[in-house]
Formats: sequence, C-alpha cells, structure tokens
Amino acid sequence: MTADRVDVHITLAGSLWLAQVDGVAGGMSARTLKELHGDVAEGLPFLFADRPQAPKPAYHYALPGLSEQDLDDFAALQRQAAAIAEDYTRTLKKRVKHMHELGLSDGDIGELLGLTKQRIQQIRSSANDESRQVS
Amino acid sequence: MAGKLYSLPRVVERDDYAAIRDRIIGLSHTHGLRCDWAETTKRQRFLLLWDAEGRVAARAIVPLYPGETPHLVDSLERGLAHLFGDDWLEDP
Repeated sequence: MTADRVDVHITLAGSLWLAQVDGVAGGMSARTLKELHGDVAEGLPFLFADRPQAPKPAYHYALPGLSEQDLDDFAALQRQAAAIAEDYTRTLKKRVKHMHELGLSDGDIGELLGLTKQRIQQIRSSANDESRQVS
Repeated sequence: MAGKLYSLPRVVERDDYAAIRDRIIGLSHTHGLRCDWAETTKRQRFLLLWDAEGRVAARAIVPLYPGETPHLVDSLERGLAHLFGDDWLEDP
C-alpha cells in the first residue's frame, strides 16, 4: 500500500463478492461486482479520513481458473485493439478522402477498399460534418 | 460527571451484527478509543477507531450480515486483535 493507492483483494464466495482492503480489518460483501466497486468507492474516503486524500483502490481478483495475469493480459489486448481501431478509422478516412479527390466514385472506392458504397458515403458524410464543425 | 458505563456481553454470537458492534463499542471504551461509524452502504458499516491523541488506531469494515460472511468476521477479529487482544470476539 502506498499513500495514494490501496490494494483491494476481491474473491467470490458462493453468490457473494467479497472485498478486503489492505490495512483494514474485516471486509465488504455485495451481490454484484458493480455494487462492490461502488461500496469500495464509498468506503475509502471515510476509512482514510485521516489522510489529506483518500487512496485509490488497486483491485486484485482471485477467481478459480482466472489469474491476475489473465486479466492484465486481456486489458493489454483491449488497449491494443483500441489503438488498432483508432488507426483503422484514421487511415480509412484518409484513403477515402484521397480517392474521392482523385475523382473516384463511392462505388469504386468501396470496391478498392472492400467496403460497401453506403459505408463510403457514410464516411465521407461524417468527414464533412467534422470539417464543418472545425471551421 | 460520571461517564456511561459499558458492560461487555458475556456471549458474542459471531453471526449477530448487533452483538459484534456492541462488543467493539464496549472494548473501545475500555481501551480509551473513540468510534466513528459510517452507515452508507447496505451490507456493511465502516468504522474508524481513534486514540486519545487523535490518531487512527484501526480501520474496520463490520459486516451487517456476518452469518453470510464468516470469513469477513474472522478477518475483523484478526484485524482488531492488536488493539483488543486475540479472541476478543470469544466468550470472556
């Protein structure tokens, strides 16, 4: 536990989620993980009222057959997927714009990129909306 | 002015929130600690124990349905043992 973070260990016992906070006796329970996260957020400012700022929870989950590494790996994969999706969208808009400036029809652009004519129209339309908002 | 006298219940049912709470309150007074409770969530009460110098002596989360979460009661017992002694929830 550091001054600005506190480790919160979460397990599942039957139908209840349990949370134990490092340095705090006892623990919390909830029917859903969302409720448990809410209770942790609610409790930390009170439990650490002697500190200038309540620590942020660092969650650690212990579930059968699911390691913390599994969750960390998935979070990394999510970040990669988000970065790829962002790159895909940016590149797609750039290619569509370029081909449109070359005088290609939406149908031909779609044919080259493996997308429908409607999707190309949608991309050009949203690009126009964005440029109108900027100007 | 005479202070309020707290007598510790002889038997603490580990699945009875009120009994556990009363034991904590009684022992806190015995040890010169002040209790601050927060009743903001459905299934537990948050507790801060302050010593006479205004320092936090212990932080605790007391389950409201201890019969459903005996593991948390064990954790509570262990977590407050440095203040109240081992087996403070057991019969005196």
